[in-house]
Amino acid sequence: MIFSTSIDKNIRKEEIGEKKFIENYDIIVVGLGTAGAIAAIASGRNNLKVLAIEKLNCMGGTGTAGAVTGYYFGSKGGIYESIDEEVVKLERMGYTTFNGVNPDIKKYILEENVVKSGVKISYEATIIGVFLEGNTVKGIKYISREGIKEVGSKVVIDCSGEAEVCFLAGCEIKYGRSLDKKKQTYSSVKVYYDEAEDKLRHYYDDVGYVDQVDGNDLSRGIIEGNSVHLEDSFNGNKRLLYIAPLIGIREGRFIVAEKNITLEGALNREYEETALFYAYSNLDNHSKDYAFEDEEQSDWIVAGSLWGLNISVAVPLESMLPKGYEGIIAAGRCIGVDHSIALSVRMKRCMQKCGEAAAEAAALAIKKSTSIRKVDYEELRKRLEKTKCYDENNRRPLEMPIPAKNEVVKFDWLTTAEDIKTGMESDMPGAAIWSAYRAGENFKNDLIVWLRASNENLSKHSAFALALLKDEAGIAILRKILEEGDSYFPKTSRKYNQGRGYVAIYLIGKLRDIESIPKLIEIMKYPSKAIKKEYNYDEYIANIQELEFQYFSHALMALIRIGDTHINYRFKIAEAIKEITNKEDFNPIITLKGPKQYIYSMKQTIESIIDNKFNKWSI
Amino acid sequence: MSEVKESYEILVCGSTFLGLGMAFSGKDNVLLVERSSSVGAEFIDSLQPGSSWNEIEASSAVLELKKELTERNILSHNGKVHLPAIAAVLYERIKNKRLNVLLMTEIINIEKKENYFEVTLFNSSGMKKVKAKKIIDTTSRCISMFKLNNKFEGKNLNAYIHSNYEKGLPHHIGVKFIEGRFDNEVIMCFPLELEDTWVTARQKLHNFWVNRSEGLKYWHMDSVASEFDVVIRSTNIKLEDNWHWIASKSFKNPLAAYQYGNETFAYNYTASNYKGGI
Repeated sequence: MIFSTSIDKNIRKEEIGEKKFIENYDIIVVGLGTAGAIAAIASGRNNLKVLAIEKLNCMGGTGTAGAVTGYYFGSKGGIYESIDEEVVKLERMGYTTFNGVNPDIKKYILEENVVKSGVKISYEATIIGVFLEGNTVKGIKYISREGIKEVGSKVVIDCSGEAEVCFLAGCEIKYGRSLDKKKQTYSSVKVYYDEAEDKLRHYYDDVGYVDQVDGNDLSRGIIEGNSVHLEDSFNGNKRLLYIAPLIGIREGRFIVAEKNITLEGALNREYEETALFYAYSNLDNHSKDYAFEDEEQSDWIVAGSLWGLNISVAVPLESMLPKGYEGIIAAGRCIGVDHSIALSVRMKRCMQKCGEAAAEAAALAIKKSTSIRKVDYEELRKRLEKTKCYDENNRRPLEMPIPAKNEVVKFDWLTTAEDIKTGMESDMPGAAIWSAYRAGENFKNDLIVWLRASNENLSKHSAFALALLKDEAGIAILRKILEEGDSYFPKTSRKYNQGRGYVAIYLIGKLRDIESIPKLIEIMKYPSKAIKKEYNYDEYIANIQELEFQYFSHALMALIRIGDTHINYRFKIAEAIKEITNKEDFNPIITLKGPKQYIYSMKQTIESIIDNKFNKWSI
Repeated sequence: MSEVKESYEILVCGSTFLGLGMAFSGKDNVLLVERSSSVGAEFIDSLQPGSSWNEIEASSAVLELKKELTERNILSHNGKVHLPAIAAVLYERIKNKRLNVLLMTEIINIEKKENYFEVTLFNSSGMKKVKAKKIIDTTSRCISMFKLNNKFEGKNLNAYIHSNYEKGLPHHIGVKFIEGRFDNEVIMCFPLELEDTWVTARQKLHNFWVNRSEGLKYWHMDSVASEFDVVIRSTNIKLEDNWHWIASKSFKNPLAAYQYGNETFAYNYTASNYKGGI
C-alpha cells in the first residue's frame, strides 16, 4: 500500500507495506458542501455504508456556510429541489424570511436527510492523506475531534471543491488561466436583517484575488476579504447577523479527467451522448482583465461580446473521473473542465446535481462490483431520470436572458449569408460574428466583399470575423478602427459588452500585425487618447481609468502576441513595455464586481505577466 | 500572512480573543494557528457576549479596542454589544498589524524536542513543520491535545431572534435571553446536553422552535450560532513544560480574555520580565 500526502505543496508518496483498515466503508464522501451534501444523501439512499467528512461543522457549503442563498441560472431537477422545498416549508414556521434559500434551515434539512439515509457524519474533519494500491484509491487519513483516523473505502467521492483528495492521491491537476494561472475574483459575504423589509438578506462584494491552495495566501484572503465589512458606525436598520465563515471562491483546481469538457466541445454539443446532467449558464467571469484570459474565452467574450449568452453543457461521467485512477470520483467545481467552460458549469444548482450523479455512479459500480468507468450509461441515466437530475428538457438552446424585460431570446447560429449580413449590420452583431467564424471557410468570400460595404457595422464586424478566422483581409479596417478611436459598444449581451476600439486591438494581436506595433505602444502610453467618446459607465466599466485599462491591457497583450511570433521585434517591444511599466506612477486599476465596486490595482498582475514573458523571451 | 518562518517564540492555538491578545502583543514572535476561518468565534460566533463589559480595569491596549467598539456603535455605554460587528474590527486590525495568523490550519502533531516543540501543521499548502519554544492553547476544546477531556460545565446553541410585536425580552422556562446592542437584537441561549453533537443540537433547537410555546409565538428566528456556547471553568492548565491551556471562553467577556492574552505576553516576554514561562 502507498500513503500519499502533501508536504509544502508537493505530493509525497511512501510505500507502507500491507495495511488493513479497522473501519471500512462502501463510500466516503469528502467535503459536504454544495455537491457533497447531496452526494452523501444519494449515497445513503442506496443503502450503502457511507462516511461523510467535512471541515466545517455544517453541510451545504456555499449555499449555507457561504451564505450565497440565491441561485444564478443552472438547471432544475434532482434531489436538491425537494430539499429546498422542505426549507421553504419550515421557514414558514417561525423563521424570518430569507431572500433566497434560508441557510440555517438548509443546514438542518440537509443534515436530517443525510442522517435519515444512514450516513455517518464526521464534522470538523480534514483529510490529510490518501491510501492507494497502484492507482486505485483504497482509503483516506483524516484528522477530526477524535484525533487522526485511517479508514478504507470502495469509492471516495471527492467533493472538497479543491479536488483535495485527487490532489493528495497524485492525480493530474490543472489550475487557473494559462497566462499566469490566475483564477476569478473571490467575494466575502455577510448576512443582515433588513428592518424595513423584515427580511434577511445576504450581501457580497468581490474583494480581490486569492490563491486558496496556498495556506498563507488563503489566510490573507480571508482576513482582507472579511475586513471589508467594517463600517464607521453599525446600526440596527440593516443589522449584521454574521460574516459568512466561508469566502466565495469561484474557481480552483480542476482534475485532468478521462474526458475534459472544453468551451469548444460544449459549443459543438459534444458529450451529450453520455450526459448525466446539463449545466446551464453564461461564462460568468467576474474578472475585468479579459485581455489576459485564455484565447478561446477572449474570442467569445471580447470579440463576440457574448458574455451574457447562456450555454447548456452536457456533463458526462468521464469528466468526473481522474485520468488513470480507480476508486475515486470527483464532483463539484473541480471536475474535468477547462478554465473557460468552468465559468458556466460551476453554478450551485448544477453542482448539487453533480454530487447526485457522482453518488449514483459510485453506488451502481459498487452494486455491480465493477469500476465506476465501466457502469452502464443507460442504467445510470435511468436512475438519474427518476429525480430529474438528468432531464432531457434541460438540453437548452443558446439563450440570451434579458432580465430587465423578463425575456429570454433564443440564439441559433446563423446559417445563411443574408442572415449573417443582417446580424453584422445590427447593434447585436455577436451571433453573426460568431456564426461566420464557426462556419470556417463557408462565408469567407462574403466577409471579404462586406469589408467594402458602406454600412460601417457590416464592414467592421466582417473584419472581426475574418480576424477570428486568422485571415488578414480585414487588417486595414482593424488598423483604421484604432486610428479613428472608434468608441462604439455593441448591445449583444445584457451586460459586459466590449468596445469596438479595444476589440480591434485584441484582434490585431491575434493576427500578429507588425505594422501596428507603434500604434499599440502609443495606446499603452496614452490610453486616454484612444477614447474619443464618453462611455455610459456601468457595472462592467465603472470609470475612465477602467476603460483606459481595457485599451492598455489589450494593447499590452497584442504586443506580447506579436513578440511571441516575431522574434526580431521582441527587444523593441520589451523596451517599450518596460519604459511604460517602470514609471513610478504606473498603477492601472480596475473595479471589482459588486455594489461597492472596490478599486483593485492591476500593477502586480501586469508586472508578473511581463516578467514571465521577458524571461521566456530571454530578455 | 507572510511566509511561515521556521521557528517562533510562541505558537498560539486558536484565534480567540485571548489568542489574538497575545498575537497583537507579541507580533513577530507569535504564530497564531486557527482551524476555522473565524476570529473570536468563542464569543462572536457562539452569540455569547459574556458579562460585565464595563467592569474591566483595562490596559491601554484594551481601552483602545473598547474605544473603537464604542465609536463604531458596537458597544453601548451600558455594556450592550453588537457581537457580529466585532469580527470585522478584528479582521481589520489583524490585516493592519500584519499578524502571523494561519487560518484553516490543523495541528496534526506536537513533538517535544530538547528545548522546543516541533509542531506539524496541515493546511491547503500541505504539511509543514514549525518550531516553537512555547505553546499556548486558547481553545475551549484544547485542540492541541486530543486526549484531554472537555471541561465544559454547560453547552448552549444560541440564536438571534426578533419580534415585531413584542418589546423587551421574552420568557421561557429553562431558556435564557440576552439583549443585544440594538432594538430587536435578542439572543436566545438554548440549553443542550454536554454530549450533544451538531446534529442533535440542531435537531433539538429547530424542534423546540417549531413547537415553541405561546410566549414565543410572536418571535421569529433570524440566525443560528455557528459555534457552541460552552460554559467552561477557569483553566490555566500546564499540559507540559512550556505548553499551557488557557481557554479564552473561561473569561467573563471578550475584552477580559483579550486583556489577559495581551498583558500576559507583554509581562512574560518583554526582555526585562522574561522568566522563561507563562
